[in-house]
Amino acid sequence: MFRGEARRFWRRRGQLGVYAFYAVVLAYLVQLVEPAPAPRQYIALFWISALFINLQLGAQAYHQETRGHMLFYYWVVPPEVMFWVRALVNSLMQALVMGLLAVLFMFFSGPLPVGLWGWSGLIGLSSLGFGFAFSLVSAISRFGRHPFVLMSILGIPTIIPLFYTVIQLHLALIGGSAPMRMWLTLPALWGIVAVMGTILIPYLHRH
Amino acid sequence: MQRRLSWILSGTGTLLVLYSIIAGVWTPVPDIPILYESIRNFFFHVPMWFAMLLMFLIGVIHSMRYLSSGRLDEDFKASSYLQTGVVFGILGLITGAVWARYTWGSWWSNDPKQNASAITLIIYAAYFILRRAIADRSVRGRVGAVYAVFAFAVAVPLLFILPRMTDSLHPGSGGNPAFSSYDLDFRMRPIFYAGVAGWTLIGSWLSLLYARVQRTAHEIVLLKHRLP
Repeated sequence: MFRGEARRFWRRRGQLGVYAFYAVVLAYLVQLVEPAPAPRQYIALFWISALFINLQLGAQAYHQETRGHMLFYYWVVPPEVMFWVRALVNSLMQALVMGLLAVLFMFFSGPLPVGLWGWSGLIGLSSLGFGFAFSLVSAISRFGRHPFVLMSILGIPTIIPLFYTVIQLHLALIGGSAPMRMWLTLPALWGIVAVMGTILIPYLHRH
Repeated sequence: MQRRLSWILSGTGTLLVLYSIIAGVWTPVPDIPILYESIRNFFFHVPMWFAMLLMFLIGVIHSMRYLSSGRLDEDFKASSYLQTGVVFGILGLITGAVWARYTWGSWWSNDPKQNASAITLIIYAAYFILRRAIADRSVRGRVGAVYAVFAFAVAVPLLFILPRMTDSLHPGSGGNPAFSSYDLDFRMRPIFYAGVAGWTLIGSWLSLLYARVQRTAHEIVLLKHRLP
């Protein structure tokens, strides 16, 4: 299933190119507005840019089903397995795009204010959280009249706890190190979203 | 039975709220620096949050019951309780802003708890936008219930865990001591508890009333469809 879902993403690699282009434009715009941002600004601008790209990327998880595609998968596996597969592929794509965004920020706005390992760890953990949360929101919003608008309306407020934790963790890393409870909060929040998704997704498919 | 329940909820709720208002204004309060007389807002501001959380909790329980049973009545109740919860949340924000103006110096201090409460209300406002965006009655109920449960799971860490990770002006957060026996003395407790119970009962009464309005409106629509 995972391979099939990854292949589906790969088949639409033109669309991934669009997200890469989006990342380039955002990083360039940030550099235009603030050529040498202070560490706090750097972090805020990076994560806000990442949030906008991830929101659009996350919408892809379920929105294509409204066009009558991909529904045959549910003959093969239960909806909760499908959710995990889509959320994991989504997380992987988001990690890739955020990695690209970090490289672009380094190119346009100067070196990262936090060490590469800390930055990579944050991208890895946050992409899991963002991937699962946006996949669930995508599954919910596809039932509305304007799924992409609903995706933003539902996605931005519900991602704030994760987003806020990532920003706090990142700001703590500027000062040297972040306390362990902060590092643990991020996977705990991801765990809540993953459990809720696993429990709730089957109800969306019940007719 | 329903009418009797309505009378019990509204009557008891009104009596308790009246007691909390009158006693809240007249009872002697401890002389705490910075807070002084503004501590009386404790009888109005904090019960609003308790009532909001209880309305959200009851709303989520009804949402879960709707998901398991599919009975439309549960969906009416869920959306009504959540709507009342949002009203209490707005009142909590207003009473909190007034209190903040006289103790912290400004209406809005970007305090983590203030922000978390505002975001919680935005999350629930999105619930009503979602419902309006779905035309089919049963799909609206099902998707709305799923979102309501998810929103509650997101709101709990947002309100209770994340504000504790950073500095806060609120008691009980960011290393600040919470209201305890030290400053919430025996005269204040009964008034506070009466406020919480009273506003919760009034909230439940309003929610059940609104659920009945929704049910009646739905029945009228069904009758109109049956007419030749």
